[in-house]
Amino acid sequence: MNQVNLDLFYARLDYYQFLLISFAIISVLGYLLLSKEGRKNEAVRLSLGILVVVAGYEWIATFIASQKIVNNWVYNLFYSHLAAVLFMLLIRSFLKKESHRKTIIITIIAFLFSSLILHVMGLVHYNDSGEFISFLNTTFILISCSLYFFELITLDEYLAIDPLKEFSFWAATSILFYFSASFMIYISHKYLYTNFLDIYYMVIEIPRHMTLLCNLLLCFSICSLVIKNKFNLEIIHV
Amino acid sequence: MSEQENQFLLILFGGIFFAFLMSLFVVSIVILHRQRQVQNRQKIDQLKSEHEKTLLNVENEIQQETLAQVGRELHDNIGQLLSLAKLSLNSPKPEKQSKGKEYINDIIKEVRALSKTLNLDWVESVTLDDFIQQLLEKIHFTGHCETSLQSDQCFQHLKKDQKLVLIRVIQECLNNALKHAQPDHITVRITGNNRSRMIEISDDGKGFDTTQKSKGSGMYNLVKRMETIGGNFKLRSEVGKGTHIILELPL
Repeated sequence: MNQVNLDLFYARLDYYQFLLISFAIISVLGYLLLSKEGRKNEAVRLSLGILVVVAGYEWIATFIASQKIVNNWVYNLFYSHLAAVLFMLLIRSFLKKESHRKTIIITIIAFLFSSLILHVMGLVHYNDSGEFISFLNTTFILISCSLYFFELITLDEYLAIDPLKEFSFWAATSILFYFSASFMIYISHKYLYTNFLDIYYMVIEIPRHMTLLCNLLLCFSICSLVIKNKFNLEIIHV
Repeated sequence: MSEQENQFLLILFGGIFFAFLMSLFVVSIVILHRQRQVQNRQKIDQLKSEHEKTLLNVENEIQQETLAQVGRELHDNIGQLLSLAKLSLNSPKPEKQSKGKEYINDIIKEVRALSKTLNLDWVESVTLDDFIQQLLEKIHFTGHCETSLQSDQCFQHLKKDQKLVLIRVIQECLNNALKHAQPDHITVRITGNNRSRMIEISDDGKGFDTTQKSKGSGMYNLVKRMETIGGNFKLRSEVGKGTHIILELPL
């Protein structure tokens, strides 16, 4: 059995992993400070779930990579499936129309089922670079975001609100940017890694920073609820 | 330029273009939303002004009706009393003179009662049930037809604008019944449930064919007026089978 090399693991840790774990810890603390009503908020629960999952899989992936083991399965399982489903559920929590909410559930089932079929048929491997699954989850995330934006410009319930002060608007926008940008990188992942390693290391920073931005926003949503409860000041409406 | 630099520039500009497109999309959504908000605000303003206009019209009509009633009262009642008072006071007999003083007291009472009807404050003091009861009694005393009122008192609490519009609509419905239907009996039924309150006005008069387009705008005005207070106006009628009107106001 190979011995665990913690020195390599520590060497690989940088601001990215520390920021992610900080966001997750702050959010857990913020969640604990929330009132019972605040904790029941579906968007808050899902945001917290995403923050913990993302911080968790990034640390696991870093650890596995530091042991010279291919860590693609971590991203395929946690990012491409678990986090993607949580993001879709988060968008679902913003939707007002029951038919749209059902569409998201159907979308999630369709995504998981397609992924299962692809894996069973051997068209994708759990430890490959995940282009197909990334394509699938990005497509379904785009559908979910489109539903939210469609509601925003068609439903009367949104007429009374200012989207720029709504967490749902910023969350849907950042998820849209995050998954679209990440998708562009993941489909060119193997090609860049094989042919242009320097460029690969440059562009891989894009999804990393998008992840940080997205998690910062989710963390901020929980913190803003705490600020609202403690100081009666609403920075963003969650 | 090396192939690596070319690839890098391609990815860089592709990424910038993509980010620009996405930003454009999100900004467009915000602009569309803002436009809808502006349109909605205009629509609300228009509805508000229509509502105020309707209320003003209703108040005017009620005041005109009241003035006509005051005119009739002055001519038929107070005028008669004044004549009697003049005759009595001009008489040398002391008993006639004291009768004349009684007439003067009656006139004072009548004038006080009339003056109260000249502004619309009475609308707030009277309940809708009392108003309908008074209206039906007047119809009954004129000998046009028999009237009856059944009420579960669900219209006890009403906003002033709702009450004004309902009063005017009910007046109009009853006037129409008397003017066009020549009924033997008019029934008003007031009922409510946990979703809405209803006033049903039925008569056993001539009725009319609802499929034929009306020449006037009376019916349209009634529908519009009920809409301004968030209510509904429904009418059912058949030739020879009377007319049934439902005024519905959601809770």
